[in-house]
Amino acid sequence: MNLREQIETGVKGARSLWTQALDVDRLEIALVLTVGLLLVHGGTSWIFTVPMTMLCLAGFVLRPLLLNSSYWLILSAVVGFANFRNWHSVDDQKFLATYWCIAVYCSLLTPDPRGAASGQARWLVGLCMVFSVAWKVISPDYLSGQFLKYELLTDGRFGWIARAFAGVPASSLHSNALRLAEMRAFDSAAVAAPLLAGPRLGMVAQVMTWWTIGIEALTALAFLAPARVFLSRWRHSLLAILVLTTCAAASVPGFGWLLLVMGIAIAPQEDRRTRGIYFACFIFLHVFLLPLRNL
Amino acid sequence: MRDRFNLAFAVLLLAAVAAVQLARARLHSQSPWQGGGFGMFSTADSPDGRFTRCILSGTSGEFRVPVPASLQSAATQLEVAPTEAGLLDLGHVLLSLEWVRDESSRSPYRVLGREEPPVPAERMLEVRKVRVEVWRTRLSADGTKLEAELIRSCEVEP
Repeated sequence: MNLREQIETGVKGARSLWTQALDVDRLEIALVLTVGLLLVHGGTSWIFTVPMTMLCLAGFVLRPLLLNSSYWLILSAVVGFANFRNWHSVDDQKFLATYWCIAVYCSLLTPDPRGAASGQARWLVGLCMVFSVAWKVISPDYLSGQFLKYELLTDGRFGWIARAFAGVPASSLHSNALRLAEMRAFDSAAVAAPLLAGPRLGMVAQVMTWWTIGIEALTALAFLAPARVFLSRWRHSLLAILVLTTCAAASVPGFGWLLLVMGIAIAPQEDRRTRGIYFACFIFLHVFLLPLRNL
Repeated sequence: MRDRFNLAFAVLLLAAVAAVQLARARLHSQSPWQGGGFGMFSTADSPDGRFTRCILSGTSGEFRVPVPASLQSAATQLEVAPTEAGLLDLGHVLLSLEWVRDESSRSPYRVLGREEPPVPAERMLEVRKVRVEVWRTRLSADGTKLEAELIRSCEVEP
């Protein structure tokens, strides 16, 4: 078999796998991805990470467990307790993952777990976006663009945007990081330190500010609106765009992953196209966040 | 009815926790980034932008010291939610420690370990007051500099 034939066989195999994945039950796919998310991004302290890892691995190996309500009750208890104990250090994504685990448990108690999980996922995504938008509106430094300017200049996760779009040299970002560290040093009495910016910083910060709040507000409305409202038809497209832009830009793959899982749970079983888009977003998010941008 | 409650439980929990977090952020200066209120990426007031300063006052002046490693977790929690009680607790613990002059690091004094042999009295700091401060950083209005803003502080005396 020559190279061309080998490539063709590989492509055929990948296509077949893709088609099979699209046909798998949406709830089962969502639950497998949830367990995967908890394995990769669910850790807090080792006391909780060890039992959680064992539970997740058991779910992977013994698939029927994933559709067992008691399994999700135990998993919810472990994840919830871990996040409750470490509330001051865990991200919003871990809180949302806990609510999703509880929602799965409650759904599996009903005669129609798929419909119940879909309804709860819709509300969880919608409400999480409502609170996210509310915080952005009431924060004193968000709408003015000051927050994103600050992030672009001092947060390493936004460094590639600052360099590529805002024209901030890498040396300036390094210098800003040093100044922030000096100000935070235990022996510092400083209350101000100069920052080095770039020529398009203000414009980039404004675009990011309004894009983020706009897409989050639209997503909230689309998910909370009843099915007869026009915007609700754009739920999945808006969620995919939100994940591809904001989650990728802010380097929060765990949050993006969880939103995609809930999107998969919401999309009807016959809607293979939407499920395919979510799978593609999932792959893109992880490829995009490989540290290749820093080469 | 029970089914309805089951299906609403996770959603209600999300709303309740987020509402409590919103209230705590307003009332106790808790960082909007933590606590399950979905305030991440909404303000520069993140835990990474907060820091603690500990100042010991002795007979020979004031000395800035780092938070001892054993109290780091408490200090991190305090930075996220700087309550009056938490600041006082940390201040009292710092006051109860024995501080010895440290020539080997940037810090003028360090905590004397329990297993360490006794050191001469002139190397020890007689702490008369401890001040604990929690600060946050933000961008200045003109966007040209970092500014530190004091959120809360307390003083503890023996």
